[in-house]
Amino acid sequence: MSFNLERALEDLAEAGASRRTADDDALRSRVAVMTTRIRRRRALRQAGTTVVAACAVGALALGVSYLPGVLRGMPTGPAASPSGTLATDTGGIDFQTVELEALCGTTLDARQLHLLTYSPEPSDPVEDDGGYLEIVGTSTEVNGAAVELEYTLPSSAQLRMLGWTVLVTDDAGTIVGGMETGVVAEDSPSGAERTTATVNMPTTSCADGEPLAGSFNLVGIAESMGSRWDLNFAERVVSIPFPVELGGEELATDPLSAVFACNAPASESIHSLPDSGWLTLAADLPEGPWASGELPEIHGVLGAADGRTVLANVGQGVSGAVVDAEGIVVAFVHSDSGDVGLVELGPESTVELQSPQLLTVCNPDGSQQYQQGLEGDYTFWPFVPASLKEVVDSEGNASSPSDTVIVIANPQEVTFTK
Amino acid sequence: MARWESMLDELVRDRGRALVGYAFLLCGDTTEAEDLVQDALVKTFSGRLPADAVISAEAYVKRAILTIYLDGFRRRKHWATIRHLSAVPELDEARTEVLVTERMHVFQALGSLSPRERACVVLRFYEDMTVRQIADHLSLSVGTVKRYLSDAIHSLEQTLGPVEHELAEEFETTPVQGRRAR
Repeated sequence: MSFNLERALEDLAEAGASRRTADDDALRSRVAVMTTRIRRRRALRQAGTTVVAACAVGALALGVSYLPGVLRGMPTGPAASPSGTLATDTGGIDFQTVELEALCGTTLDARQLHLLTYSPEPSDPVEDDGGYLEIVGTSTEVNGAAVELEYTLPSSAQLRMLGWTVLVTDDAGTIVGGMETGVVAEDSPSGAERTTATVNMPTTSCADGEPLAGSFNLVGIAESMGSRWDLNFAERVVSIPFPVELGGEELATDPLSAVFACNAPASESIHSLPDSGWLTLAADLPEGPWASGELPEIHGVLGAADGRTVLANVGQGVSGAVVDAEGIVVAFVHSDSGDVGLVELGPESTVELQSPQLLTVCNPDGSQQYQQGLEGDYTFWPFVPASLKEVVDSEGNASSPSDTVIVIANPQEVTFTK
Repeated sequence: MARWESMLDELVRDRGRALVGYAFLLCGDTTEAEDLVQDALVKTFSGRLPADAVISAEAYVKRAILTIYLDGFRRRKHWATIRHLSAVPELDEARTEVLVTERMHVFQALGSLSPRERACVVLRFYEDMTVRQIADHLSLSVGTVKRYLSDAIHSLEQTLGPVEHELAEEFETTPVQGRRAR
């Protein structure tokens, strides 16, 4: 008699999904945790381009401070930069960080880069494969180019420092670009399982500095040091390749930062046509105060001015810059909708926008972090990024711009509460 | 509440158990299966779902489960205990014993497979996919999938005896020598 594997697998799946106790709702009990993680990621996806360096969420998840370039005394930013031995207490481990200059032009060998070492050497073999790094995604559609990474720490590990690197490889696996994004220092809380970061996408060649264009793979590297089972450890973990299309210079541009950027004065000339691509935005802000953890939905109406008809890709919601009494941008409100659609706007056609909102607060280094604790009175500038596809004026003359513009509505005073 | 939040809630409520069962077949541990499903849900809903339907989201989550598992889900371990498998209610004792024994054998046999072999077996015999669909799903060639399935079935049959399957002729390829150093 033959064995019925299909039936046996169904039976095994059913048994495996059954908890051994009455706690049969384990997955449902995790929904709140999942929702928080997803909100954080979605907020950072929207915030991606205004992140100068990295570790916004790393700081959030680990409760640590971000020290870009301080520990290694080197610059951070879009250009490939050299690296070396971490200038801190290495716990007896001689740990050389990756050197982008040395890697440039070589073939990526992930196995060779992988590292997990201990000091002192454990007396018993360590049956563990260490941490796990994943490139969660990229955002390149409206807001520019950013890479989201998630590092799952080795079990029972407590970090003292963590650095991120993103490499760009071509189809042959040759490293053609890269960016090192800094180091997080100080202790992670016990029990922290993972940390994430949103970093700028490297878009230029590490060989000649020219913009990269075409199909490439992104490969993330996380380098961590800390303690584990009373041992000091250092780890370098490499993600699997993440395919990406790079379009040269245009991906590196961030039109939002020209108007609103973290810790910078808000633009004063906000209504000047045709800077907004002949588009107009009217926003209907709910009455405050706004609970920063549960922001109200903002209703907006996007239209075209001067009798023009405009085709553009826009998101489903209204975003906004939060500006303090000194005129400095201190936070952003992002539409919690990643969907971007092509709309036609004209003299008699407008588009209504509305979606849930997420708040990210500016860090001193210019990065942003998902936060629910903003308080006080601020000026709120609603805006919508739009990628123009076609503009037809009132006389029927058509043009095909490919600009991304920031359409801004009138500001209003808003009170935030925790 | 955002659209994705209600979709997530509905998916976990209605299909969470099935997703954990699917993940369990891949990783072999209930707690790890729940972690795997959680990570897959976060990954899926952090991205852009192209459709509203829960059934579509479930397909994306299943794909994410498979991807995370095959990419080296770090908590994947060999099975250590099967005590929890005996917690199936409403079966008489003799029948329970037979089933638990059978599950043990299936469980052990699956544990002897490589991750990709195991994934192919689950997709073929649990998800009822064709060889072509599995190849598309895993970004492998049809020949490679046949080889994985052939090797896997040979391995399973050492524990379970002859395995009933309709596509025996499909798997008649030469097992790769030396691949299975277990």
